[in-house]
Amino acid sequence: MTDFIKEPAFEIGRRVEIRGPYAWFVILKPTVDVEAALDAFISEFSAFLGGPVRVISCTGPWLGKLRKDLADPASDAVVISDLDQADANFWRALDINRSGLLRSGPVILWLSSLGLADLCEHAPNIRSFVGGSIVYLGIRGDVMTASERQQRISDLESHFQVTSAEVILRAESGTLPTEPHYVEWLVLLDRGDLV
Amino acid sequence: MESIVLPSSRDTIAQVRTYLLRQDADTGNKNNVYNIFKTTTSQNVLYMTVGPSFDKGPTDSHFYLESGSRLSFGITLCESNRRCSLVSYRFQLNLPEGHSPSFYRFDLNDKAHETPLFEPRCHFHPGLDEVRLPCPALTPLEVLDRIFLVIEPQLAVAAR
Repeated sequence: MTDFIKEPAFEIGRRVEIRGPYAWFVILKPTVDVEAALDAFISEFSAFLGGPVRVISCTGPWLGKLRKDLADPASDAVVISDLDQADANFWRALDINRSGLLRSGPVILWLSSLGLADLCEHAPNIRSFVGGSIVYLGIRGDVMTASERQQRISDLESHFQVTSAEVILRAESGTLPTEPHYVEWLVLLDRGDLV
Repeated sequence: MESIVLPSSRDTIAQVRTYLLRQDADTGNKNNVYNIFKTTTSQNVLYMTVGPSFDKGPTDSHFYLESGSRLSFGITLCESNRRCSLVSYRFQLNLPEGHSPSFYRFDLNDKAHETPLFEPRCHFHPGLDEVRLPCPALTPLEVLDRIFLVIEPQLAVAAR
């Protein structure tokens, strides 16, 4: 499973765009913080497409529900999020019914490496829908480090010639000037309660 | 800013970052958006930023446009009761050397100034810190549209 490249959601969106309609993708999910990763992926993929992305679950009467969800509507982007719990029989049934699953909108199969192995073993025709479109989800952190926060706080203190302690006092007394920098300063000081 | 309805803060961050990634991809991938786009949170308040807090010249943390202009911004959002609202923002576009005005800035203050005519809550600086032209309250994406789809093309025309 080490041959697949790692791509962030934006790049996956570009691949989906290039493949055009009827595209099936497998995204290999991370092994930790899976739910948060799925939520973040949905947000970023939706932002890329400029519209909502539907998350389809396979719980319940699996195949019938899945066919219905894929067909109605058939043009939006969907992520099937819980195929890892599918057993060999389900994958085979999915493979046999593959023609009923065809749709113009992109289909993302959100799988673990083991789930991908099951797909390859039991659903070779679905595997052919996917072709080479298998990628690891690349997680790119954007959270400011402690030193970056401190550098910004120092820049603000230097620019306004005011200490952070004074800013907090003025915010508490409601006398802080109305200015975006002061709001940012309070967040950097972890005093969002004063915003 | 109750009049502006935003999706969740996570979706808003994704929209702003994706906007920059798309602009960057369309103009030759000059910027490392993943490195320059930063977020931090405090309780239910979220801050996203690109570039330094104060523009003192080109840095690696700015977003560079095709014209050579550099963009920095800070946006603060508040999420409570499953609603995401805009608290404040500042978007500063510094034009390439020799252009006049030297910068444009869009500001949204967190609350009304005691003299709103002197400092409207949402205003635009056309190259002068002391001049604040009132403008309608815009979403972050609407400000980016004005920068990338209105100002930037005019700079390209002027450069010809």
